[in-house]
Amino acid sequence: MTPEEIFNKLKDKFGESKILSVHNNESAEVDICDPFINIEPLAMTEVAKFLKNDSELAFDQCCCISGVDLGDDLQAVYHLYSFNQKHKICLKATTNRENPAIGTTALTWGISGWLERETYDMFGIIFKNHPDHRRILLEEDWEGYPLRKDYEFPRYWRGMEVTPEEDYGTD
Amino acid sequence: MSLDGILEEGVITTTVDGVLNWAKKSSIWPMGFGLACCAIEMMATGAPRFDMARFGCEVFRPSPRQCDLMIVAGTVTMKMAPRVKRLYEQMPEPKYVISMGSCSNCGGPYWQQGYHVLKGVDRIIPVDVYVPGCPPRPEALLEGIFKLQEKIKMTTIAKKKIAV
Ligand code: SF4
Repeated sequence: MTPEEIFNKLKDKFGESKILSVHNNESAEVDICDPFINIEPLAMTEVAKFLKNDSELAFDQCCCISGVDLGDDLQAVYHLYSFNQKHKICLKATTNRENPAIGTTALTWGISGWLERETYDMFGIIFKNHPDHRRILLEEDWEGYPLRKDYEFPRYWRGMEVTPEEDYGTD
Repeated sequence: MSLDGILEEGVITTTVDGVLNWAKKSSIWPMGFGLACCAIEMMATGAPRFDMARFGCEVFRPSPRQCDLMIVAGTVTMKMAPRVKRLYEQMPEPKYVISMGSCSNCGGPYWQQGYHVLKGVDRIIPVDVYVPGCPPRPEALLEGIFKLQEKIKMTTIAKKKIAV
């Protein structure tokens, strides 16, 4: 299916308030290599379930979840592929910086569990109803989210020097 | 009875230090663990082409309690640092540390932008020999082991005088 067909199918099912817009090369001034659909963040859980279980869509593979720091907002980007239908799509869920929350997809695709934990680890996006919502790479008591643009390196962690003094505060 | 009668063929005289150090330096058992890309070079050093066995240190042990030498081969992340320290503490004396590669010498390529990397393993455990390189070639690691052997040869079990 083309991105437009996927978008229309989702919109018929969930309505315009949850499926926001579709973007591909024809409708954009800038080059878009992956056509993407914007989704309301808290609707991700049910949208994911539908994408996987519907026989026409049949997205059985979640290839990648990435985080993006847009400045005012934070975003999670999902790349999906269907081995059955041989089509792919990209979903974007944009949430605010103060209280970032996105519905989990961990119960739909097994691998999402770890990918979402990594996105949480690096960007601090909370995935609602995630079955095991912990940091994955950094230690539990680490402070801050390293891939956010406004992240400041700690000077010490557990008594060990993280940033040498001459570099501290200079970015 | 003179010494001539006892010292027949096949008997040598030496010092206790000499024989102990010779034994220590001839069978340095390293710990079998690697932290990043440098560990691949360490494995190559142990494999037939470079063959650490020629110098008596091919027995990579899976337990720190059976090791004499810790080769810190790779990036010591903040999360790994407490574990490395604990492994070092679990090794029996006498124990030695070779820091292999820029990462474990000083943080290497993560010196400035690495919030997750310890800037040198010598901040948590004492290091005997540093091997520079990113990664060091197996010859370089072997050279580091020779340096360690030289160091072991100079040790003594006699109590050192302490300046008062
Ligand atoms: S020194 Fe270079 S080769 Fe060795 S662990 Fe670091 S980055 Fe990898």
